[in-house]
Amino acid sequence: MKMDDLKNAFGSTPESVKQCVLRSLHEEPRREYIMKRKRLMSLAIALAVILALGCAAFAGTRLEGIATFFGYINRETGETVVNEAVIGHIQSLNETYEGKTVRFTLTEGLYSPVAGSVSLFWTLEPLGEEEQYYVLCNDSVGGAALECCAAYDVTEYFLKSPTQCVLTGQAKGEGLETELKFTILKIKGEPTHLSEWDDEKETEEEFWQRVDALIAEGKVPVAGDGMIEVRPIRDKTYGEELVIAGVAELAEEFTITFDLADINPVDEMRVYEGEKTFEFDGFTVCINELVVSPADSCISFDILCDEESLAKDIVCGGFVRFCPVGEEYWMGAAYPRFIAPVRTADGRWKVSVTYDVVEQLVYPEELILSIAKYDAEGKPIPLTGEGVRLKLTDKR
Amino acid sequence: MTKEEFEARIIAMQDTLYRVSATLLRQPCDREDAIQECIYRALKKRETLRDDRYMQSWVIRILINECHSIHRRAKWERPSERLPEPPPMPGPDADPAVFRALFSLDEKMRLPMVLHYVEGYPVEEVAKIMRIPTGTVKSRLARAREKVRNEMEKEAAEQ
Repeated sequence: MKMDDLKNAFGSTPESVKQCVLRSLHEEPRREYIMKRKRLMSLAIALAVILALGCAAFAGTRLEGIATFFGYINRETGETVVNEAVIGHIQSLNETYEGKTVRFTLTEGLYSPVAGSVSLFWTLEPLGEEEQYYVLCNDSVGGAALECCAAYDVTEYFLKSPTQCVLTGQAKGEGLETELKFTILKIKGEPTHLSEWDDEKETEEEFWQRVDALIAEGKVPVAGDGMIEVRPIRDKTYGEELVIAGVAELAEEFTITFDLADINPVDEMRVYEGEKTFEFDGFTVCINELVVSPADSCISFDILCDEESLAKDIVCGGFVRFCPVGEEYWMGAAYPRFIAPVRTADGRWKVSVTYDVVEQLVYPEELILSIAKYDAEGKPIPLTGEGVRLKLTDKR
Repeated sequence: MTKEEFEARIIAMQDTLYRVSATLLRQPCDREDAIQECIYRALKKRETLRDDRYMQSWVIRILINECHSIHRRAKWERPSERLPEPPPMPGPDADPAVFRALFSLDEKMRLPMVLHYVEGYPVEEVAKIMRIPTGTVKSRLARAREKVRNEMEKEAAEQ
């Protein structure tokens, strides 16, 4: 084999990656917002900002708990847009634990089976004022870890004061038995800021030597994102690495188990029951299922086209868009699943696509189906004029 | 370098960004997350880049860090004792045999192979990107070549 053949290992760059690059270059304001949200809790850790219990300010609107994740800031107006529909469906929960190091209180939960979206809101409070604790948390719903978590930062942080955590993700397990397994580590040293690894000033080994030197001085090296840095050890968990490195010791472990209810968004869903097949120039789009709840959505459709290369581009995403009228951002997180192109009996190519929208920022009454390509600036160019309006109806 | 020039160079690098992320991450959604995060960080820190000639390797270094960061988080979110790690996914028109051979290597050998033979970086540049000595890159490349050849021959013999 020639080494040039290695290029074939990857194939051509998927269209979704190209779009990702373009969008990343031109969606900085949106990105800033997402980053802020994702780091809502770790900011309290890394930057020693304490979130006051009760509420968080959100662009002038007071939101708290799960509701914080179902809103966005309109880039043009600067106003906070809140998905009011979801707020009434948040479940009240009362799961508590009080041990020797922390007090845990879980007060809100949300589950919607349409896309399996899960949101949880809890408070963790340190007991006593002497010790410094570092919190690690593993989650599972139905026996499987949540996928596509939007708040992974809640899982590793210093606990200095009562801290609110919001976790969202997509349940992939069987059932709704939910488990939160906490490991509370007692920090054995003074948390000390570890400056970034400067590409031009030091090698990787020099970086780790800097980490080792801080630990040898009895300090705990903390990176800018709030994580404690220690040398990775093969086949060890991060918690084990911290203990082996001597920066922490196990203080307490506890597991919270409870059942999430799925009653809420189910009884208020919207579905599309109109015309299912739409002809565009070179494409046919067949909608198999379109279900929208206040919290999440599932959109399943087939695309038929004449050329295999076009079908492969479609696999890489982005051609078919479903957007509420006037709402460019209606999904905080969406996860497409594709079935590779197959040849149909009439010689065309069919691609099956399912989109799960997990963090839904609005609850639309109507969606516009359009075919679009992305220009050099990452903006979608509709290829189908204004597209087709899909009126959703209540399913009760 | 103006923001427009910077953006144009990032767009020109998109194939490299894809291949490097695919070298280190198994799932397409993770690769896109890493690329997005990398571009975000590169945009924010572009003023700190002292010499434009090193932009490519600088961006690749950021991407590698992001891939490792995602891998580290995944380790927590999906502990291996609970869920098996999903298999790596080749691109839609990739050669599955070459893909399997490449992914039979562990990351320490796979990454220099991709940077050197696929992306065309000289050994010295790969060493800078990976923060390892030039001699280590050479020895890893030699071992990796041998292993990939063996894997390809084994696969050919089985067919």
